[in-house]
Amino acid sequence: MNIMLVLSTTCQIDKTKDAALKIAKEKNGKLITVFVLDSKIPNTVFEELTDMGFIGEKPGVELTETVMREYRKQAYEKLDEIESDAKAKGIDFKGVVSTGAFVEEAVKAAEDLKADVLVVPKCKEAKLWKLVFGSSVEELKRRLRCEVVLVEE
Amino acid sequence: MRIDTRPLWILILSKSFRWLVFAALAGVFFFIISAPTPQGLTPQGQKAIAVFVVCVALWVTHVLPLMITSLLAIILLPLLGIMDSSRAYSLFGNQAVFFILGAFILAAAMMKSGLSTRITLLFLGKAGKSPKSLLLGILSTAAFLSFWMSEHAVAAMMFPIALEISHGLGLSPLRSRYGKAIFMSLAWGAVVGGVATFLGGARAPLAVGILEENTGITIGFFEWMIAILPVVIVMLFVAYFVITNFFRVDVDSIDKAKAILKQKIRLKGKVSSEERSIGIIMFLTIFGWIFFGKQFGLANIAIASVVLLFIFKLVKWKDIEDYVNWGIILMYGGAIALGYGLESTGAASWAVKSLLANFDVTPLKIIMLLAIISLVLTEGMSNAAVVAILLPAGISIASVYGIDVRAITYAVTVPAGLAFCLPMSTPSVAIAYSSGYIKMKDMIFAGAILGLTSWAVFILTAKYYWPLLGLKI
Repeated sequence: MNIMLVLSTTCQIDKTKDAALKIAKEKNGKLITVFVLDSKIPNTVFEELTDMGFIGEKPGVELTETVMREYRKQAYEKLDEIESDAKAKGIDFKGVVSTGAFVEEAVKAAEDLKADVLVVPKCKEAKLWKLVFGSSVEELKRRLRCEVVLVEE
Repeated sequence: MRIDTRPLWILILSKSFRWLVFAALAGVFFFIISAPTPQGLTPQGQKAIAVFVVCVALWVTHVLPLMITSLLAIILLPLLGIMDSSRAYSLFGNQAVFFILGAFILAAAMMKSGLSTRITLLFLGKAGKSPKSLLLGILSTAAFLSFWMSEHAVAAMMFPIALEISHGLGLSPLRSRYGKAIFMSLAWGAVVGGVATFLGGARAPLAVGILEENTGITIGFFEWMIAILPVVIVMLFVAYFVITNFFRVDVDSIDKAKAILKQKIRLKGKVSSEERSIGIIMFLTIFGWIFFGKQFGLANIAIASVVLLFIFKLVKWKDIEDYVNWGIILMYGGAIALGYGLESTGAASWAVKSLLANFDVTPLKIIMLLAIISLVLTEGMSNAAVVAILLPAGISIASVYGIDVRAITYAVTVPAGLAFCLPMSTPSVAIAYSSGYIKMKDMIFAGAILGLTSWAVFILTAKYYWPLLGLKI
């Protein structure tokens, strides 16, 4: 059985990791952790720097690369931490880092890696935000056939 | 199959927002120009207001890049008979445009040569041994550099250094309060410092350009600095207080950070001849702006310095293209043209008289009102756009109510640069947010306190300090 934990640079809750480990242990499953590097934020920063700040492209490109490197570093550190906890509990572990939009990458990973249970953090979103942009976790529940476990902040 | 269960109107809005905005604006535009001309307003003024409304909506919604909205203004003004084409296009050649271009090119030279990074490392290296002193060092370094170059460029340049400091101290993203404090010090230091002179951002020279084009009055480099510096100094202390209280220090030692800074300074090596030469030119340029700005013109001094950079082969043209966004010329030209159109047709003064006729206003109340409107608007839109929108009205208010127009210029422009709360408010805050160490809720409440305090400090400065400089309100 594959238990998939999906985290992102913008939403990580410690309880989510604990919940995923608990489910994996109970179901004697493999824990697959997917860390999504949200490229939307650095792309937005780049646009603001050039459009609002009237700075040329080069500082924006360098900054975007620095941010993505930082996200990647944070992702691998998080995966190392979870792997260490998984091994301590005798749980089989696989870590994956992907770049893109959170929902799209989570759905793709769940389908490619054949997740049976998806564990995601549910960070607080303003009601207006959810009304206008939709809720990312609600969208995940709509698009996936597997069980989706939400861990609230 | 994916089923989106959001309300239908939300779905339609999300798919076709841009076209809906364009359609709505076209409707509003034609409604305004075809409506009966109100008493006291000329037909040209009515059309100028229609153009203004369209530009404001486009700048706020950002469905077109800022510069393209400005281009739209440039073509609508002559097409609607508000001014002739030669006048409209000549406003691209405003001195303010060339001043800010020169300033950005000089900043590009500093960044490309690494001089700005060296200055940052030297300042931070002397920050002191305690965690709080490092925060103060980051805040004041970001602020000081933003006196002399774009605050956004400062934030972008200091960001990797702040990241290395955070790594060196082993700070956890989203968890470490000190990590949050580091990036907020970077962002807010750049924001506060950026209003001190003409060089911190595009808004101040744009404001002076609009002012000069409409009234013939100008504000000198040193004059601006002297009027605004007290606000900046006080706000830096306030920012330090807010940061250290909202993000209480949870590290005991910064020795590792100091070691990193020392190593980076060592790796930088000796000051190169290129850095030295650019530093000298920059120093002489600032000296020229302060002491000879009125005599020779700020733009002339800026462009002369740019020419010197190329005479001494300190930069290549490709470097300039990499670091400068030429769209700033379009933004400036369009904004100045729009302001001129509103003023010359009497639209701005008509709007002011109509809106404020029934209110008991005093000069101080007007300054307070303009400042708070500017402060609120800038949280949601570009600083330069806020100036383009508010200053033409402000200039008319000054003339109607007999207020020194320089005070109005400060009241619109300085708060327009003080956006603290949201990543979408200003690139400096967005850069800090992108670090992954800060949540939005971390900055909203603290930023709001900083924003309101900055308004209060600004008003007190206007009331008690400016009269000492001969600027009465």
